[in-house]
Amino acid sequence: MLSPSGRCGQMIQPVRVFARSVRTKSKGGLPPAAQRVVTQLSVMSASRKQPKLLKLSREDLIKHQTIQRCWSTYQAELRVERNEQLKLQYKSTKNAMDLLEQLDPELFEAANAPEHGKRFPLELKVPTEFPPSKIWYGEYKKKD
Amino acid sequence: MQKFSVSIRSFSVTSKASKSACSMVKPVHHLVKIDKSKISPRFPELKYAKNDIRSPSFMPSTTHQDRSHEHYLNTVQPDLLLINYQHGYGGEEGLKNRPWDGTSPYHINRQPKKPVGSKAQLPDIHPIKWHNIPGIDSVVLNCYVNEARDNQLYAISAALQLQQITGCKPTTLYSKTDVPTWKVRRGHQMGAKVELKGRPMSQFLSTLTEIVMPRIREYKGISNRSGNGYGSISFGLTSEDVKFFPEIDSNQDLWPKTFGMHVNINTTAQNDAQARTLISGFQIPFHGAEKIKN
Amino acid sequence: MLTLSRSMATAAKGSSSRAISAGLILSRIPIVTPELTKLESQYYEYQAALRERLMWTFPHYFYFKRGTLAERRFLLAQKGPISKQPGVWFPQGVPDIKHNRERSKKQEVNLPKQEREEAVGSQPDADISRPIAPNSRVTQADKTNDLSSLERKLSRTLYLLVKNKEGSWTFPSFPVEGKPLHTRAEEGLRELGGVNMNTWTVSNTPAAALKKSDGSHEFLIKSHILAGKFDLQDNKTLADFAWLTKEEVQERVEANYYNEVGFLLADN
Repeated sequence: MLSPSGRCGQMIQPVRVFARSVRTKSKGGLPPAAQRVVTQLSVMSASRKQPKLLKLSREDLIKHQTIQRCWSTYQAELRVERNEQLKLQYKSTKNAMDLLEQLDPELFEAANAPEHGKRFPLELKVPTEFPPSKIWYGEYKKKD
Repeated sequence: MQKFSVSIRSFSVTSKASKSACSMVKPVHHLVKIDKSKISPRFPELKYAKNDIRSPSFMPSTTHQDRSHEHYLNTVQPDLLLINYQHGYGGEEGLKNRPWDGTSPYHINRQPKKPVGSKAQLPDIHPIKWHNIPGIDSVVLNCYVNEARDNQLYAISAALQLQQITGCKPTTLYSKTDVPTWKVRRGHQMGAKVELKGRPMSQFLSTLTEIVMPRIREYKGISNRSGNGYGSISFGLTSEDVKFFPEIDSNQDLWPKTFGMHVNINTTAQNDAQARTLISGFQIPFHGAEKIKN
Repeated sequence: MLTLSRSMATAAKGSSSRAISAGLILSRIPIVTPELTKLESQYYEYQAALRERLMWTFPHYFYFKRGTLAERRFLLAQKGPISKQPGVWFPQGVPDIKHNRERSKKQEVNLPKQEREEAVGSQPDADISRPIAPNSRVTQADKTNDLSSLERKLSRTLYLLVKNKEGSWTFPSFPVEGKPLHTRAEEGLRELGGVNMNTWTVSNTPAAALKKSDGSHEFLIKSHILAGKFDLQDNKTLADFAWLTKEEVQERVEANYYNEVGFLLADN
């Protein structure tokens, strides 16, 4: 690497002429294809890249475990809540279908028909962290 | 008596798949591999679970919101419950092995008969209720490189490609058997695979559906004929498609050669039709005629 | 008015008790991710800090080839670690440096700043190296509290509610005229709100059944709006409509109506 001319004035150095050209002599290393693979392997390997292990004091460990327990309790609460809601939804559907079967067998047949090949539409997007520039496509026109 | 194939002890590099966890040379003493790190008093931190902060391999993954999974819980899951509801459906018992009637004393230790119409037993189908709504379990990326039989360095590149795309550590694939017509020899490194779960899986699916799939020319979607019958959907990405992953795309000069791969989406659905409906909830398109049976 | 007793109809099987209507729960799914609670954001921050501390060193030699200008620019942008010096006391431990990283700390990787050519006279969007400025999660409709807009409350699921002339809010409901429930619900929605709407019916199975005071039954079909607008057409029975979150629905509808449908609405 060519050093920037910061400290060049401090001592007098022998004059060298650098000329850019294609390196003709091999430095005795690996052929380039093999060198590329060596680099690739070193990207995947842990050697010389691993940080030091965490060393937690007893107090820090207890703090960490408390945080973890808090999080798993919170997740468990959410899970129970979700399951309860799904259970209510299932039972409500079942009641509705029971009732429909009594009231109108024709409508019941239509409502209970198997839905082969049901697909979620591609327009039903997974939410993103920030909204798109055009938030809602409100100018939709019915296609005939 | 259990049968063991007798092999010769050797130092040669053999495939990982053909290696067993215990000695196969008779007389066989231990059938269960002993994990010596569990017995030894020397490295107590190795005995902790991987998600324990004292374990050397601890790496937290809950570092950000999982928007795919939240979309699933919020929108897809209640909708799937309704879509899969079938009134008065009590489930279906899968085909099972048939026992012998016991009229002969030779029936006692005889293998049971195979089920009619299937080579293997089939699982029972249960009606979908609140506790067994289909969900995506894991995504397995399988990158088997044919050219690696001539040049094993390709397998290393393939592993790195998977690592770059997913951010997870891949495992190596070895060829299992000798196939002289394909010039494949047993025990060669042939590629890599990686199993994604949780946040890395969501990240991969988002990248796939939002960046990669829209950029593939004339992409029609996953075939409706795909699926193993038990709720696992597979499709392929060609080496050209892989170039659209942003990690590869922004470093094109590092990737003169990319490798196609198979993507297996494993779901908790009980058949493929349910699995396809589920997967379409993550903006993955499908094409072709729907298979009604399974 | 609705009184919602769920006792089974054992009495008078008149024509009104047999009458069936199709209700529609039309929802707009969230456009942005849910708001994080304080616990969630703090936990994520903690875990992210732990992960950064435990991450392997960035292999810059893979991305920037040795001896190139790009590598030089990258290395100049890095704030190097303090290296070990003989005869110096380091109060926080002797530095342990590998690959230009202090191993007991997280690695901070700075990307070199791109020199941006100011594209004069061209489109500002055409410059791909422009800094990313995310759009606001709070929209104009939130500021003006425009209940008829689909661009309000982006992080929540919104539900379409209509108000009749008597002033009570309900989900839109349509009498069934011999057609399947889901077909009738979609048709009725077009009659109410115009045809310029793209909706997706979740299933032809009703999600719930409500019993009205006159003995008739209403079956609720779920649907999502994908594009277009609900514009209230000239209507003799309806006064107003609104896109509301779960809590706002609870404020407006009667308590027993909410008990029947509240669990069908998404929390986010």
